[in-house]
Amino acid sequence: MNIIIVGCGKVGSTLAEKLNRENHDITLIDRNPNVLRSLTDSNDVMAVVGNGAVYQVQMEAGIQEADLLIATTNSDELNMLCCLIAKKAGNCHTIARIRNPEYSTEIRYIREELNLSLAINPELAAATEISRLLRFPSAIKIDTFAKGRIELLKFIIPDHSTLDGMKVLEVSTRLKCNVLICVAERGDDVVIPGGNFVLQAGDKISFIASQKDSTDFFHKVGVVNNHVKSIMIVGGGRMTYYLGKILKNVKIKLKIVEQNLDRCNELSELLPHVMIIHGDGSDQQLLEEEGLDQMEAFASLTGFDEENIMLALYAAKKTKAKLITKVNRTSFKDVVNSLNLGSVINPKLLTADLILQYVRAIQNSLGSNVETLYRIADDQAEALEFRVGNDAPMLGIPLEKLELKENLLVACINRKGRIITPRGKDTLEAGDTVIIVTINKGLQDLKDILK
Amino acid sequence: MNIAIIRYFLGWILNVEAVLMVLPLITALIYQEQSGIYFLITLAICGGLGFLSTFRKPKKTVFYAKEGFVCVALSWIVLSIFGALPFYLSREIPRFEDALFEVISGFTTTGSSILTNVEALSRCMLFWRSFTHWVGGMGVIVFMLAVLPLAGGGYNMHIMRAESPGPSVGKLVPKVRQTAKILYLLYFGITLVQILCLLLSGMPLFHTLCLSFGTAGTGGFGILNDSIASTPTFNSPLSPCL
Repeated sequence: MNIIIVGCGKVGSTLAEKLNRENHDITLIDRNPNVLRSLTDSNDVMAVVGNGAVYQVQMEAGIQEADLLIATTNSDELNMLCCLIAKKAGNCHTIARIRNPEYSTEIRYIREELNLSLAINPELAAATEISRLLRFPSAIKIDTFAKGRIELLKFIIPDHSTLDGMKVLEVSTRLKCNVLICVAERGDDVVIPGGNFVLQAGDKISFIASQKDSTDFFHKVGVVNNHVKSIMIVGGGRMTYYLGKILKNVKIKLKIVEQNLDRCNELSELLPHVMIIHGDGSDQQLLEEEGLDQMEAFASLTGFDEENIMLALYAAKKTKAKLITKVNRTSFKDVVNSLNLGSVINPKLLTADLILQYVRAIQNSLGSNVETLYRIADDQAEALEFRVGNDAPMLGIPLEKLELKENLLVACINRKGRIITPRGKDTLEAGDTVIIVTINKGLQDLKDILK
Repeated sequence: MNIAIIRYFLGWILNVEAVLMVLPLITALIYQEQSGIYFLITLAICGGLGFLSTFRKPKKTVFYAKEGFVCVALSWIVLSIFGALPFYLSREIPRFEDALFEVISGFTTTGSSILTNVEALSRCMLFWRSFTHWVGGMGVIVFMLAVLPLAGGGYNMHIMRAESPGPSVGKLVPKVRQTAKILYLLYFGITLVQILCLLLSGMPLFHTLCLSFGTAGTGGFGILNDSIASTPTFNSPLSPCL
């Protein structure tokens, strides 16, 4: 696909890198020639220096042949203008990053009027992710499939769990639980576990189950999974604001610590149901005073990675709370992951992932059949949702008779809204959606799962 | 530095050179020339070495600017050394350094020659000499980027950057591979037009091919001692091509 990306900040350059790796033709537009030079030096992409909202510049970047324009400059208005002009000049799909909370309330109207294919709000996306995590505090990461009906949850097997030393084969029979373990991470290794894979305490396990089953499963393997009732957030940025909005309807007591007095006043007007505390979040005494040790969750969402990480480590030492840590920088991921930071949220990567997913969906209408795509286990594995077409080669054949590729798992079948955890005797029928978990990257079509 | 990937890359260069040598070999067959056997020998050496070093794909595929520079620099040297072998082995250019000079002059489209009597060379040698101009005019490496699916990833960018002159790479379309393909199509087109023009003006096919290769690649090797001076009637289509 021909894709134009306007604005090469963190999201723009991450997207350029990832989309280029997926063999799309990328043209970048940015005002800063230095940024463009460093990007074109290391990636096989083309660059145009200039203002992305200028018609001439877009023409130079080849808007007329483009299939998609993604606007990720730091100005919402500029992004919208870019998309508007692109729509008129090239009649392509457009994606804009629009992050101002003032626009977010009328985002639907804006999207329709400007004909945007997708309007993405990084902070809102991150806040949604956090709210999901609060519902299932024992999970490190939650992804949803089949429009939210199926969830892929990741958690660490605790010491002395019944799962320690159990074979994957025995999990569903011995626990009488309808779950399917899809991916296991042990140290740096990522595997799709076969039936004889023996689980160990400390493994990071991703499994698929419906909401009811996953609660049951957590209960049986000895993971405490109470709904979080109170949370303390340090840093009162946009993400915190969105989180406050989302949690308004849930019975969670929210406490926000913010350094800037003006912002505190602003927030207390915007979020009347929330307790706002004016003070330095990195002040130990303040945190203690505000009852850090009684909190069931603690989120460090300040603008500084270092401070967030320090705060999370401190909270891990003092409490047993569910930790959520915002980390903006994408480098040194291994180090960040090896620390006890709970769920690490990276709004930039989250945005890039959402856009990637969307690009795959557009591609879907151009030939491939991927409905949704999730990267799991540090990008080393993918979970893909496919729709089974009328001409699929495996219709009606039991799964145990299919010759599937190595390191690949048919994880879930969604038949007219009914969720089936596939066993050997099950078959795929036309009209189903099916979730495939695999370490092999770049599956484009359902028939690619066969040998 | 990732030696394995450099070995792999150079292996492909040798493979490409082996394929290129098929053309002078055919020339030798057509004109029933003995010296064609030396192309066969060189072809076997290149192909053998190339096969050995591309047999196993390197496990580590890290490729940075440094590897790019080394690959490009070494591939010119390797290309020239093996390209000089037929001249040297056949004793048509008896000294190796002379043969090397001739081929480097060819691949770099310099066009200067150590030969005083060009016409003494056999036809397959003359063909190879002019053909190096044509290959060098566009660059073997660009050709490789265009056709060969080398391990992928960002590494063709580093090669392209080391190969092309100037600090930044100009591209016609976002992908290096596509750009290279377009450039090669143009190049083929120009050469073809020139060959047709020269043929129409009544030049023999062998002369046409050699001269076209020499001019399209902006080289300068001729196949007669006085280059093109003695063939005034042919100049009419040749000058616009130049």
